[in-house]
Amino acid sequence: MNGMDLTITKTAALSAEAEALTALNDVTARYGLALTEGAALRLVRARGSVLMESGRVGFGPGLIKKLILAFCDSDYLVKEDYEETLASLLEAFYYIKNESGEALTDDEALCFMRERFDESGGSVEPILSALPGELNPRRLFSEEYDAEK
Amino acid sequence: MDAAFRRRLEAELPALLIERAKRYTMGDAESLPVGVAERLAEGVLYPVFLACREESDLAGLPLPELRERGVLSVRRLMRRGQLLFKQALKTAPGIPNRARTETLSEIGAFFHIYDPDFFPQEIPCSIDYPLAEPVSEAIRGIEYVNAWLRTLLTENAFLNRFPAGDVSAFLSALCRYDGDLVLNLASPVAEAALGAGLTGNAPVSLLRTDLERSELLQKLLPLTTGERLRLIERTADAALTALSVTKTEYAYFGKIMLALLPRLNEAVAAGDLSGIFPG
Repeated sequence: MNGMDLTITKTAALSAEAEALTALNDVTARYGLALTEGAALRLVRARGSVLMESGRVGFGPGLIKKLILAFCDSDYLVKEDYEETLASLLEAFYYIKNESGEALTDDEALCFMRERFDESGGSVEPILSALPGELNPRRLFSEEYDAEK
Repeated sequence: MDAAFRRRLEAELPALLIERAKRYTMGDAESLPVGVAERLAEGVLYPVFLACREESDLAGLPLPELRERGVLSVRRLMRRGQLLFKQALKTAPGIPNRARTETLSEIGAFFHIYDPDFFPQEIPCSIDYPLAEPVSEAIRGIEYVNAWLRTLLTENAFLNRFPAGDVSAFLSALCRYDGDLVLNLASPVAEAALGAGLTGNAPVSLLRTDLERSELLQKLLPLTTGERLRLIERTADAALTALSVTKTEYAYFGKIMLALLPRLNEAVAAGDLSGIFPG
């Protein structure tokens, strides 16, 4: 089995998921962010490719939605490169999932990414340079970690 | 698997796999590494095929229901396996063998960590004790463990027909056996029982004298391979009958005794039977 997305094997499902993303524009508009239908469709397709490249199988349609909601209020997410940044964050997300050896839940991974993203002024690179040892939920979400920072 | 069933599997498997993956991650993730997804897929297919094998008319049921039926069968096989395991402990011959002891300990733990819901096709334990006739590696999960235990019980029953002290003395003469050597105990004992028959002794007499070996060599030398095979067949039948073995033991050890022929031919050609029939 290669990496794949089990939820978007049909074109109709792909379009439905893209529609669900554009529906989020109502939420993100207050931060000046919006996805066109085309951009949403490209992101959904990109997720399939990233899953394949990262050797993972996707089985839920909500990850991009979660990603948008986790980052939309960041000061460093701007409308000019909203789609590109989301695509980069998507790649970073599956990278983090693999590097953590499944130790982080999706929400924990997004939380870690958001922190790194904001700390670095909106760069994805510091997320990708996370060491496996850092991706430990006990460490990440402990008071000691906050103190270390 | 017929074409119609294959088509059904292809159509219904993704949805079932998504459901299983969600349960596996308990909603904490929407993706899994390919390796885990493959294990989950095999964990769906194994009980499905098990259910179909047990009752072929179930094949028309929806895939989730077939899987659930299969998991029930797996659980039933687990209960049977636990009984086999208890029997294996109870009937273990009094001959020390570290690999057998450790394997039984692993199998004991297996029943606590085996996951019939998600990974029933797996065998999460290390089975190091070599059986005389290995269980086919095509058999998976609890079925493999049960087949292994059933075979061990057959070997235990056979070994228990011999005084443990005699078996230990024989193994010591054969290979300086001390309990740590990873060695199947039943196979050399069966061969020795055959050797006893070939030299006109009772099958429980495992050690051979130099004179007996020499006489046996003279007896075998002029025989063709076909004649030696027939001699082994007759002797094996007589030895196993004298030991009052069960039908299962008869079939199992009869095969092991017949399989001795190539090595016996080599030993006869070399003029030395001590490697097979030690004294």
